[in-house]
Amino acid sequence: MNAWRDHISHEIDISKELDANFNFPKIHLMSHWAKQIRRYGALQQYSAERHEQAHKMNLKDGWNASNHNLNYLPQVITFQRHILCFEIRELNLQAVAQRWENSAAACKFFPSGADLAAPRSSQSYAKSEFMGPHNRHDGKHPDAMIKDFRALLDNTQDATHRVAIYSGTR
Amino acid sequence: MPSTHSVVMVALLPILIKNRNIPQKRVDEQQQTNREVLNEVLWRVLHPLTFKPNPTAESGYFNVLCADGNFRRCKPVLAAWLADWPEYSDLHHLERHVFFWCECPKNKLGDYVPPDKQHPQEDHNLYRTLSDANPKAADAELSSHHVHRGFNVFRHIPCIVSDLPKPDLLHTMQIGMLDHLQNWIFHFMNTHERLDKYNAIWLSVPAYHNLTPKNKSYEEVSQWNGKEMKEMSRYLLGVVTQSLQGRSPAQRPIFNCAIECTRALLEFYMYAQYKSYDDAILSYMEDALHRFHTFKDIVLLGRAGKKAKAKANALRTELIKKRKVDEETNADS
Repeated sequence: MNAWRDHISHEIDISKELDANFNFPKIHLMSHWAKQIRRYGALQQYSAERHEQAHKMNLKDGWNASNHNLNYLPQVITFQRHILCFEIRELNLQAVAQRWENSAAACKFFPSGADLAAPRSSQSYAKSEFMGPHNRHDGKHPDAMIKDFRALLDNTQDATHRVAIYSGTR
Repeated sequence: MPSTHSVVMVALLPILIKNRNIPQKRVDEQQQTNREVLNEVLWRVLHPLTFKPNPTAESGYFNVLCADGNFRRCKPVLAAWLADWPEYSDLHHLERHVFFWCECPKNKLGDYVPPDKQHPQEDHNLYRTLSDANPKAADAELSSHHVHRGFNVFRHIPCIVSDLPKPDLLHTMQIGMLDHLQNWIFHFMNTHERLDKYNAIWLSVPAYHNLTPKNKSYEEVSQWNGKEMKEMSRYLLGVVTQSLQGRSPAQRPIFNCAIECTRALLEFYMYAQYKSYDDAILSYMEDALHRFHTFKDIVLLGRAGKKAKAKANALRTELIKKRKVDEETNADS
């Protein structure tokens, strides 16, 4: 391993003369990564890239779409929520389409599965498991529940009171 | 179910007074105040989550209304804290340039640490008891650990404080190590008179999928962002290898070392980006790191100051002359 060190001996000599070193924290950080992966999993999920992107996408785009008034914050949140709702709707539609394809394929092999492929009413799509787990409270629509919750939040000024709302739902 | 990382804004931390805006005499005092303010704010933010008097198995759980309209039974836990380096030092009450996971001495940070010989973890319980104790001996011990005295909110929360910072690809690799690497290579090319070739090849990298063509060389760009670094990592090795073509026998081992160093660090970065791991991949990763530490001395010049660089260049020409003379005398005899 050290054979090449003889060839670059003068380079090594020079670097010894230099008042330089590699003592900065980030270089040491790398030697801990294997251990950290063993304990906590892949590094990809701890990258700050996504969160720094969120400054741009979630905040700045919403701010640009708002009327730049003092009450911009609800507008930013609403803007973000609209985008998310459309994404959820798109995923739902994709899932429904996928299910139709699957059941149509199943019909070819299992004739008794024909009723699986039968078209369903729009009401039944809204209640499909793609909208979330089944333990929905009071049969309320999620949007209505979020609306109630936000109205509750808007009426409470105090931050500690808000926390009380969260823990009051136990 | 794929995880979509959701982000909820809880609070905005105050912007503290910067050191450069205040007179030199009051820097220490101001830093102390800053730390106190930061901890006070964090204490208010984290208070409802964590200051439970009786941590029994059932306490701390409650139903949370989630964004999809369903209730879920949750227990909030402080698991990770993603921040830049200076913020980590502030949050952990450490002095600057002190490592936060383990008690690695400042002058050993650059050395290779084998995975089985790592330094002991930072013990924040010890720091907490030392901070609470009053005598001056405690102060001395705290400063031997490079820790500031005072109330730190994280030491009063049920979590392993030194485990809070998680390895962060963006800050550590993309705009950390890769930035350093580029700087080192730039200086390496400069000292070995390959800079023109290097820049020419750098600028001629064609556009490709997810790869914007460059119209500025390394020294003309003032600030790099994570995305550019990510792109750069894909073709840097090719550029370096190609610009070090056509070498004399004396240059060959030196250039090979530089290429190996670049390759090892880029390889490490590629392995760090994996989404799942097994023992084999982790061993490749450790091996890449070991290789990087073996070959890194060749780019040490990039870490030096201006004067040291000039001195080193003078020294190099002298040594090369001497070496030539030696070789000639050897050949004659």
